[in-house]
Amino acid sequence: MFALNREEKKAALVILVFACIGLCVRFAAKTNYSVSRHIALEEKITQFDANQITLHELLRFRVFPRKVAESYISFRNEQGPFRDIEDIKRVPGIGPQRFEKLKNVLYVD
Amino acid sequence: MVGAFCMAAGIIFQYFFGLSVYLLISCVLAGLFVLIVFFRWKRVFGAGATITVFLLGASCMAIDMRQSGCDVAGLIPYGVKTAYTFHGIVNSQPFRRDQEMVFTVDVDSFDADNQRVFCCGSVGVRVQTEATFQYGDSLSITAKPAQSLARKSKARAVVLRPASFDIEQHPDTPRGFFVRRMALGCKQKLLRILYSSMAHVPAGIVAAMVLGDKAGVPVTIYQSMVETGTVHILVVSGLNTGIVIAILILCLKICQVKRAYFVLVAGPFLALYSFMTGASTPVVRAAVGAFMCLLAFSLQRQANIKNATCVALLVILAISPQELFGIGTQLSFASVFSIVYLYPLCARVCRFQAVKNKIVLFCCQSCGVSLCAWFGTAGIIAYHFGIISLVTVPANLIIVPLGTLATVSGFVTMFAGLLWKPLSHVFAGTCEILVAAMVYCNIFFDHLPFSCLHLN
Repeated sequence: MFALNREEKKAALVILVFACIGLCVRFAAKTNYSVSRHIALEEKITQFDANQITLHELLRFRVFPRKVAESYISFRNEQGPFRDIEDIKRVPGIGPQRFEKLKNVLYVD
Repeated sequence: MVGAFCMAAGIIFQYFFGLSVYLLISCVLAGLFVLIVFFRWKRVFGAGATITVFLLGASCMAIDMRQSGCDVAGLIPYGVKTAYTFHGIVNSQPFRRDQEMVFTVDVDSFDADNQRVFCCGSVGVRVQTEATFQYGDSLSITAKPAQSLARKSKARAVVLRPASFDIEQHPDTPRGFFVRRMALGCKQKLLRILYSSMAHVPAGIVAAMVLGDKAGVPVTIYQSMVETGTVHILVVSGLNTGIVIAILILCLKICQVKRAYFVLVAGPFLALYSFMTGASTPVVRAAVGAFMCLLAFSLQRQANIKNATCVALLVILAISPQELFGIGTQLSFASVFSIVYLYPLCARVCRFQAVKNKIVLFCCQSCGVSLCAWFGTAGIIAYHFGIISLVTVPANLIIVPLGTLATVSGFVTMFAGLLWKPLSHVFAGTCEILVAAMVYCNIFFDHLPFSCLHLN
């Protein structure tokens, strides 16, 4: 039963190492909330703050065309920071479909 | 190799010049006749074969560009405001994007003016609905064709993007190709394992790397990986196929299957994996190349990666000549050819054989491969995306090994979940930490000054 050849031993070692690392990570995530947040890649890693995002970043991620992006920035400069994600709907040029796309890219802190 | 390039040249020639399909087929038949007559004359045969393959490529492209007389896109007037009822089956794996369900339907008929018109072809559907669809589901969709797109072939395609619609699902026996249905069913099961054992974002990234399902990859991470030149990690290609082959060979060796039978057992699994991951060009290229190498391994002959890649190119172009103009095909083959042809030269010039330290040698070889791949793809990326990444080589040096380990641990997580669902949670933590390390490294490289030059 334990007459493993070299390749089988390597495969078994890899699987055991993965299992050990996985268990350690699970334990660390359960005992420390910040570890859990970083491993889960929460929204602040994968999204932008709607009140901090620049025009360059809006164009870079092709969220909407240049005119709408400029309208977004000027609206934010005039009306002040957004208090809720739903406030973004008030920006001219952002309809329901664009807003649905925005929710994957922006968050409001 | 010459055959593959002649076929590609023929396809490009036909795309720009658009000769008659009858003329091309006649020339191909004449070429075959010449080859038969001059069978023993080496040079004439070689030249004739080259020209015949060129004309064959042009013919394939001509036939592919020709829209069938029954194609639904040709039967529906352009810019129509009338609603039609389309009947057909779902021909792709439906997925959600921006609250919409996106899929294609193979249409067999549509209703117009209270008459049923039989047709062929497919329509794209993007609809806001809570209903779920699967490959092979029979549907009737009543909607106005909102858009008619001009594709690469200069033919029209119909897209339904209805604001108001009516979809009727027919609960009869699912149709479609049963192997593809089985493969997509397996894929859904594996996706459920991944999403239930990991957080959403890492699961989405692992699903892209292992199963080719990019719906769960955040757009910010995807775009940032495009700019650092590491987005190939998220595409199922040779690496993933190689891992599948390695796992298969290991299992076959453990089961003491004879080497000669490897290709018979591994071949169907490769085909299943190709269907599961959407049979995109990089996957088909890798699968055909892997099959050729496995065949050589089974027959105890030396595998030739150049020939294997060229056979893969011939297979892809024979099935779908227009793939030559796809970004995925261009990048996939450009990177492989540049590595295969440029890397030996790079290794000779940089004298890698003189490096004794294994770790330094590994780093040098990785840099060499990355540099050659970057050199081969920089022009295509600049043309299509308008960017030139300056951190590709160092970014790939760190992210590719992390991505490889994450891919392997993703496979282990999935197979563990298939054996016993709670077992996937044991390995999921490894996946998550490797994906997190990959993403943070990518963010670091992306934030470096002048990491990416935007040409437009």
